[in-house]
Amino acid sequence: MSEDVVLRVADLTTELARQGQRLPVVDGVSFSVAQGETVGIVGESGSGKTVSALSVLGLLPPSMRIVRGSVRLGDEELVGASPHRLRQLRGAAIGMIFQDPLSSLNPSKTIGWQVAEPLRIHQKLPKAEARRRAQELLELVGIPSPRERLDDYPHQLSGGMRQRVMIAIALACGPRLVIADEPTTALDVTIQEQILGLLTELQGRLGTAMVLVTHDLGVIAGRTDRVLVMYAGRVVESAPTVELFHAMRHPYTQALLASIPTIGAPRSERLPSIPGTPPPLGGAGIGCAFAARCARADSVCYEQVPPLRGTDGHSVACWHPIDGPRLRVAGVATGSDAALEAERTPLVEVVGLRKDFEVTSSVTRRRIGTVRAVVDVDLAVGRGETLGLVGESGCGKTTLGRMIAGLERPSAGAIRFDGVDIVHLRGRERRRVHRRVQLMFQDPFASLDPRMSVESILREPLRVQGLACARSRLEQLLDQVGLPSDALDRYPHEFSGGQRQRLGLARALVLEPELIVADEPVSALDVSIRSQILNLMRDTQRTRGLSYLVISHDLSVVSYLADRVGVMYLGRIVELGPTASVIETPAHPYTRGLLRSVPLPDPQRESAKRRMGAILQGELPSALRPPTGCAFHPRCPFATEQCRAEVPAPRQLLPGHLVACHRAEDVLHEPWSLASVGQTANLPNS
Amino acid sequence: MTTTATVTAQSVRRGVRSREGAFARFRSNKLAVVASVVLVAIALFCFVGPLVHPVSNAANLLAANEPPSQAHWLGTTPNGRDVLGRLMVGGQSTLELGVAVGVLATGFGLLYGTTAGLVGGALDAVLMRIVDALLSIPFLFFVILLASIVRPTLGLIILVISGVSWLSTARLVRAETLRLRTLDYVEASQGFGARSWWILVRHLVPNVLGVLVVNGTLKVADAILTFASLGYLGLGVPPPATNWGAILSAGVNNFFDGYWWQLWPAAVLIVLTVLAVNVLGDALRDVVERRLQ
Repeated sequence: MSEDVVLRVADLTTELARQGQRLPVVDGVSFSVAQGETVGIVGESGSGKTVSALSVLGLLPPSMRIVRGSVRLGDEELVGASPHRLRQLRGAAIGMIFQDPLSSLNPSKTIGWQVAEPLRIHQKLPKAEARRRAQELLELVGIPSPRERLDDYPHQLSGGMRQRVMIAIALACGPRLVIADEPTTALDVTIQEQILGLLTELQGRLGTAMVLVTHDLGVIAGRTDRVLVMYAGRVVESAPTVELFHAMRHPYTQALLASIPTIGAPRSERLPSIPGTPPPLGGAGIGCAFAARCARADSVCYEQVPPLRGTDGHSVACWHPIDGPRLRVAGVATGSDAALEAERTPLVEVVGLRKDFEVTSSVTRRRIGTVRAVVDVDLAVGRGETLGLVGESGCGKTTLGRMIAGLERPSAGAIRFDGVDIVHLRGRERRRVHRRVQLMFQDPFASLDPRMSVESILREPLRVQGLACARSRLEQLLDQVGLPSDALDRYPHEFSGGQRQRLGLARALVLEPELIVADEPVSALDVSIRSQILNLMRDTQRTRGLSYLVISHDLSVVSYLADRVGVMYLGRIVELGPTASVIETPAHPYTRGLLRSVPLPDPQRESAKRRMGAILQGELPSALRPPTGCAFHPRCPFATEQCRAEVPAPRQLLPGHLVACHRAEDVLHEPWSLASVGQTANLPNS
Repeated sequence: MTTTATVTAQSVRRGVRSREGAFARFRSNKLAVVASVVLVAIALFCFVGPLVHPVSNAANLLAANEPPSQAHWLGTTPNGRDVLGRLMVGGQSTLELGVAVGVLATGFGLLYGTTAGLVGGALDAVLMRIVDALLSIPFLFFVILLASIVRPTLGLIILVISGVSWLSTARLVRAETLRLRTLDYVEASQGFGARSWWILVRHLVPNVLGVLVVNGTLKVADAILTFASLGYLGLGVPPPATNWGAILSAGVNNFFDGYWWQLWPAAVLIVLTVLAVNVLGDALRDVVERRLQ
């Protein structure tokens, strides 16, 4: 057993020097990776998971330094090794895959050159030989017609293809160890599934050891053999993956898993959430770092750091670990499920909406094409209803949301509020429309002006609309979104990401709108903060009778928030219906593929799902040259001649459930079970 | 919500107010403090100095090229004027010009750049092509041509240097504006129904200001150098007014006669001033950039 251990990390401690202080960022981390094994490191931002990986590679930023511990690759100690030796190892014995495939590739060199580069550096292969190997590698990672791709530049490839190139580079010299840091976080779920599948397959074939760093418990569940859960720089729990998900013992791990909404989970319950925010990088303090957010904490937890101990490879760092089966943190029922209410009066109706963007060449401003971002969309959002829009990036969901929010003028079609078309309104009347619909943004750091105090931020919409407002009302509003009233005099940089998102919601509420368009409202937040914001959005809706248009690539978020779901593909809505109906009986092959691509935080069902096969192949085509007929046909297993020729019209097959597919009946005949894509993950284990 | 609300309330970090923090950060930069002291000393020397050390602008050819003495601490010029006094008078015009160009160029560049960036489209294209065209005129050639037509005054030179100096500021501001206007908070403002001028005044100008202050100080340094070069070439303000560049020019002519006092004091003052302004600009940039993190 011990001979095939590739990487052994013991008591690794890395410190960050800042303003004369030395803060531990990684504190006493130990783990080992055997040949052919995948070890996952999961944690939120500031947990030290990425720094752990960088410490192994010897790629720490200048302000950080390994102060203790050892990193052994085979028999060789890497801590204290010369930079020259580390350079020899990186790219040869250790392969690296990073999150952003665009900034990790050099835009001015061809793909072939970049894949051949490690071969020429480490194995001193001659140019032609390296190029031949590069072509083989591109073929290995599933890039179509690799021979032609050799002379392409990175910008000519899609994000998924670039990540495949990164994998080819990482594997070029046949490394013993691959370190992948959030390799799929920047990608769509369908592409994520493809890339993770490729990694697993190649690893099985080549017997490489892998360290997979991610924030996503779903990715961990499906792709790793063992897991380290990190919190504030320390490992809080470490176990074989199946064992961990079966019997996790640390309160943080349990709470984290419970707070993730799963597709099809009962929507009437509040999500269990972890109060507070994770400490910043190096902010562990004394005692157990999780104590302040932990329901089981007592005085010992605040005074002494719990040691990592346990048996049979399952260890936990907690003074009061949870014994026995996993606890179900009971969600609080919130009464009637809004989705059950019958027909609603529509607040907003969208009819035949269309948005074309003209693409012009940069020099001569000549028109070279038209991107049809949104094509003939019909929608209605009822009063007090939440409509969710899902789809891969580039499908037009954001453009549709921006048009409804009045930020973009449609090329054709109508948007009616209470029957009045707002598309052609101008001046004062148009400005009044903005009182009725407001926006919530993805990035809590870019959505607030750093130079304005919270009070000015909240007052801005009122001043724009020429309305007055007492300070006491603003304080009330802050209280409603769970912020202290003295926050009014502070500036955005004093707040954490989750708190800024609360501020964003408060600002959207100041004008008392009837509709809030929320574009990826929780995607930029840490996992343990997401459920807080989702609950807050639901609470606010209930007390104010708001309508939401929630736009997200994350099906679990949409299925938790939305009463009805619309699935978009290349500018069109391909399926639209009540959430339960769409996830229980998806009638469009694309919807099925999407639902199946969502990684589940449950190892058994992840592997069962993989045996079922049939994940979505291929990538979203360019909107500049959409395929003929049904835009989905090149990726569709059901496609026929008719699909290639005719655009399918939306049809109603089930009550209130529209689908635009020629072969929807055949799709519905295929067996489908909700249990395989969601649900039950969080149900009581009893 | 109640538990969440209270815990969140406690965990709001009490940060330092941004303005106090900025000042503290500036003070912690020793070099910047030294630069500020140097600049204040030079300003006092130029503007308060003449009150302490009476200056006569009258030429006195009988006392030409005298070495430093009790009466003339830094000796006299080829025209018999007191070098110390000339440095004070020359410094006045140099500092006035530096500040004036900094303010004018920055102000106009801000207006021009934000307009181009915010309005966009055809107007942006036209405005920026004008900038490109002006940037392609060789500056010295233009100034020599101008000097042959009109008699230069300090006001005119300020206008001419500003006329060149604002171009790069306008480009910088336009680029900043283009970046800022895609940010979510500007979009949010549009989402409240805000008009362009509101976004300009409330969001764009305050956020461009930081970069602009830094750019402005560098413009001051540039202007002082340009003014010195013009003076050196004899294209500066005509006598009896003077500037450091002109003093330098006279000093160089007599350098091989060993009249070091006519050259070095002016040279040191120019280098010191420009260096101090640049260091100050760098320190301001650190303050501005950190604040946005």
